[in-house]
Amino acid sequence: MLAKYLFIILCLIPGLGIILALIGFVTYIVIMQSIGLNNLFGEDEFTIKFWDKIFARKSYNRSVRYSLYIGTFSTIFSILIAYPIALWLRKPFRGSLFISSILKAPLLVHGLVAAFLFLNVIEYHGLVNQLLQYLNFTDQPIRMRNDRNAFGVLFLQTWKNMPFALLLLAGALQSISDDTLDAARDLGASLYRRFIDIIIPLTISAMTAAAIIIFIGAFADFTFQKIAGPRNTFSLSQLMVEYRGRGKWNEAATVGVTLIVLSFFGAVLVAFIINKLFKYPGWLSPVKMKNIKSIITRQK
Amino acid sequence: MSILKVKNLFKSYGKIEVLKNFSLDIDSTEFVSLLGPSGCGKTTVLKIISGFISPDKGTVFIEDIDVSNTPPEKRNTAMCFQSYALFPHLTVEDNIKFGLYEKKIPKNKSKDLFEEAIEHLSLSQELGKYPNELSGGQQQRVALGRALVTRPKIILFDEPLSNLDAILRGTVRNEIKRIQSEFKLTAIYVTHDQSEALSISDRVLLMKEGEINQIDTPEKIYDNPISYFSASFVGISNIHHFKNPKKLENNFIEVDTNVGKLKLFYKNNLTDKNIYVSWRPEKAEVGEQRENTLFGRIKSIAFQGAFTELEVAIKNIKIKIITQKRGFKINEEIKFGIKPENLLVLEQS
Repeated sequence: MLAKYLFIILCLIPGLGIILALIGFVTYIVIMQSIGLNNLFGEDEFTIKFWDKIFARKSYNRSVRYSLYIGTFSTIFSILIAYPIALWLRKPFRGSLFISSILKAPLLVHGLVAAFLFLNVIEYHGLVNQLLQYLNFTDQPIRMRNDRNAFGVLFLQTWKNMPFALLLLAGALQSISDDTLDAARDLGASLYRRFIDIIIPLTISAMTAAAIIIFIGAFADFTFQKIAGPRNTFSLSQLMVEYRGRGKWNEAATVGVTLIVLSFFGAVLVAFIINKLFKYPGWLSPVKMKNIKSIITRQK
Repeated sequence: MSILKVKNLFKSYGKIEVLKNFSLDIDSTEFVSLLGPSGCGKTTVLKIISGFISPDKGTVFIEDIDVSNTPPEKRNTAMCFQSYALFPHLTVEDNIKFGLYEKKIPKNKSKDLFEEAIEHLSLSQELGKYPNELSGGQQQRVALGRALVTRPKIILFDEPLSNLDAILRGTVRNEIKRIQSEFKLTAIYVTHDQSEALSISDRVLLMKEGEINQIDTPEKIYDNPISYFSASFVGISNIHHFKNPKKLENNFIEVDTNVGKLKLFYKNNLTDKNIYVSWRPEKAEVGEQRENTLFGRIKSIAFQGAFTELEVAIKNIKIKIITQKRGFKINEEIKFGIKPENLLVLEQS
């Protein structure tokens, strides 16, 4: 029995072993450096002063909130847009393969390229401004780049991640048989109820997987933020690179640990919320609209 | 009283005409089977009745109300699917309760309906299980329970036994019949299995190429097939092309066939379509017979316990005989006869 397990472990080592080792080393180093150990320069000394310093900085707290904002809304928008498209493409029709391919094209475009393309569209003399002026909506071009609310980053994140959500959701939706949906319809379920009671619960695994991956990617965004994000706020990745650039490796490590921890707990929270809200049909769900309403009323 | 009226349905998919002027009347609590080969349009009829498919022409009335443009969720019908179509994310209990919630049946009433359904279907032990934890027979019972719990006016079965093994098929078939009569349901049952249709139905509707070929009780369909198709599709028949019909006295006629002259009893006037004569293998009387006596050589013997199936060659024409006699030998010459009243005249189609 032991030999069998040993054999399996040996087989996994070349692939999974390397991945785990690399993740493990990086996580170990970043955690140690955040508490003053394994320093690249100077003496090692256990301390929590870097954490104290970073928690006291407004820029850090702003970055945490900003990255959570980008991660959460990019996830929501990507999935909200991907669902109806996946439903529309569920049954093949003439041209559906072409449409599907076009929609998935952003997966093949590098984030940096996408960001520069986007800038060309929203720049001071970009296509959108030219169109707005042509239609006489404005006399002067409007500044849309690096907007305070990071709508540009959200747009880019959604544009980049929606095809990924679409890929997962389309596969899950296609695995639902017509008979299952017809049975629900036959039993009196309207279009909305079929979506809530059958389609969402049966695609919840795909939705959760898409949400977790999109959340982690968008939460740790660097490229879109650097090019199209607001100038007065850094994302956590940007902050980490900023500290590293100034030679503050230990502060950079604390931000790195923050990214790892919040990515993990954020992903767990995303999965938890999705499962709580959508795993069961409306009438079985432990979270009911009337409960939510009563909580909101109580808070008011 | 007629609960379902289907009038002059036409349906085509591209150039293929699936239904051609199909009409049907079904009485309340009646069990009607749509029987026919694959592609004859029986599932299309079922889906038009349930509302999943719209006909190109024609109307569907349920209790004298035109439901042709009513969506399936608002029709008072329920379908049992070939694949069962149970909801994999819900337990047996929630699968059965699904319709009660979706149709917003009051809690008190739905509790009674649910309990009655699980009692009749003996599902109380399985309520907490998920569909993938059930056997094929149990899944079929859940599908049946889910369909009947809301007390639909008409219950529609789309080849519900085709995924079951032969033994289970018989058991579930009897169960469907029992439940249908206990709940006094009107049922339409689609199958391509003649034994299923004959054993379960009050009436059998035999379909061919989108049209009704024959509609009658199972006994009459078997005993009096009107066409070559119905005689060959339902049960086994020996069918011979005939020519030179001669009228004899007392409504008897004599015809020439490939196995010899045959005398038969036929009250009606022969038309150009009447070109076949048929007889069931069990109607042959092996041994002494004064009329329609034929001689043949046994080519194969299949002992089936209660009876024996013989394949007999007459002038290189092979025919089947079913007899309760025993002790036959291969290549033995036998004599048998068929009473004129057991010979049937068939139409070409």
